[in-house]
Amino acid sequence: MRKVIAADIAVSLSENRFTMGLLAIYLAMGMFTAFFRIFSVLFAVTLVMNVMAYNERSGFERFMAAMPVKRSAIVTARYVEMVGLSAMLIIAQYLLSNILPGIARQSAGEIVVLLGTLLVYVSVIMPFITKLGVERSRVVYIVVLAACAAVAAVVGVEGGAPESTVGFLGIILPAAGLVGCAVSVPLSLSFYNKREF
Amino acid sequence: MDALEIKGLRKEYPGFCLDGLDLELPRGCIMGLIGENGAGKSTAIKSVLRLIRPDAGEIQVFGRPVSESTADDVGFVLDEGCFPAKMSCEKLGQIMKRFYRAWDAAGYRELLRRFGLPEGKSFSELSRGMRMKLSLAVAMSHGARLLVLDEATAGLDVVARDELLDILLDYISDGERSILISSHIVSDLEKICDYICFIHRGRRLFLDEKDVLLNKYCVVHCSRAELERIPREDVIGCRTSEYGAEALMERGRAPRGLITERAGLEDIIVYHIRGEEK
Repeated sequence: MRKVIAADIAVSLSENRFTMGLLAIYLAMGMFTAFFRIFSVLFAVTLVMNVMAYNERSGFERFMAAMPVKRSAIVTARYVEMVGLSAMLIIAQYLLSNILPGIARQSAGEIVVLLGTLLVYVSVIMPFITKLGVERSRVVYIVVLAACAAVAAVVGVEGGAPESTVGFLGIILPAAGLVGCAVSVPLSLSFYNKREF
Repeated sequence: MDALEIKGLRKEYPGFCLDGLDLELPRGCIMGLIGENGAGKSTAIKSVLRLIRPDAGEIQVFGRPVSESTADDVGFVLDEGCFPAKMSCEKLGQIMKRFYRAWDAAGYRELLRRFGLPEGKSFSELSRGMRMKLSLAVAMSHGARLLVLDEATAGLDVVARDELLDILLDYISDGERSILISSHIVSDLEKICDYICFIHRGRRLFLDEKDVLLNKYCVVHCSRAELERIPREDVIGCRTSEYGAEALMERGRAPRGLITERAGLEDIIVYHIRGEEK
């Protein structure tokens, strides 16, 4: 799995600079607006998807499938990349919002909602990507991202969302995310193992 | 122990079926996999490389079933460029080092130098021939004992193809490495292959040593009336025109008195196909 992650990072650094720049802008905007603070974390998943898209278009995904690496390692690496990168950004933003002056503080409830949204997002799109490829599952990804952005808008409303809303979402979304991942990961593994290049 | 052994390989697609392919590639040899477009060559090769799952059959590399663990022993070159566009040759080597246990970084740099590939150049800046050489450099830099090339010479000019063939001959000069190369450019394979496996419409029509094949058959030139008198079972394939007829036959069965000439590999294949289609 580590070799796949290292390869994807290398591809990202060479091919994904525009998206990385966009992410940096969204993260900077997130210092001042709650919506972008949340949206930027979800957008980070796009970085990983873009790497997968580049690999598909260039043929490197096919090349990797023939190298000494298990297909399960390729799938697992992509889950780790998506969740890991976004989780790191969530933690970094939380710490910065609580340390730096002039930045709206993030509540722990917001963090929980965001992590839950992230897990739901990844658990829905990954089976489509492993089954159909990134290009053919773009519609799904856009719809799910729009839905997650709507959640971000609710939670990130200026002045803070009602505690009851955050509390409700803070229970539902993480639970749905965990259940989603428990179903999504084996499904994605099964799809990718059967995929033909 | 053969370098590659395929038994009963079967893969079905809508409108096509690779039906029960058997193939043995001895160590230290080059085998050419020949067939027209859509014959099943790439299907066979993709099965060896684990890119597709066969419906039936066994594939063994150096006596072990194909898996990610045998992939260290197999270097491959696919027909299309398959590296990220903006990645440099040097960076590619760093990535490959993580995947292959026996990655030889110094050997890779030496191959880049020998093939005239600047380390800092990105994949998109390379010509078709240079991309093929880069793919070959990667395939040859991790101690692979079996090299699999799928239409590696397609799209290359005559000089580039000739260079590639020289590289391959050099690669197996130690007597331990083997090469399976698929192509529909028969002349390339005739130059370097020890064995020829001909696939037509998903079936293996023959697999034999190249020299045996070339000595086995001849092309008979005769009139149409003379062709009619030859027993049908002796004629593998034929072509007739208003000027006369040509037929592929085994040397020992060619009638006396008729003009015969040595059959090249292309003749053998074309007439086999003609015979099959009749």
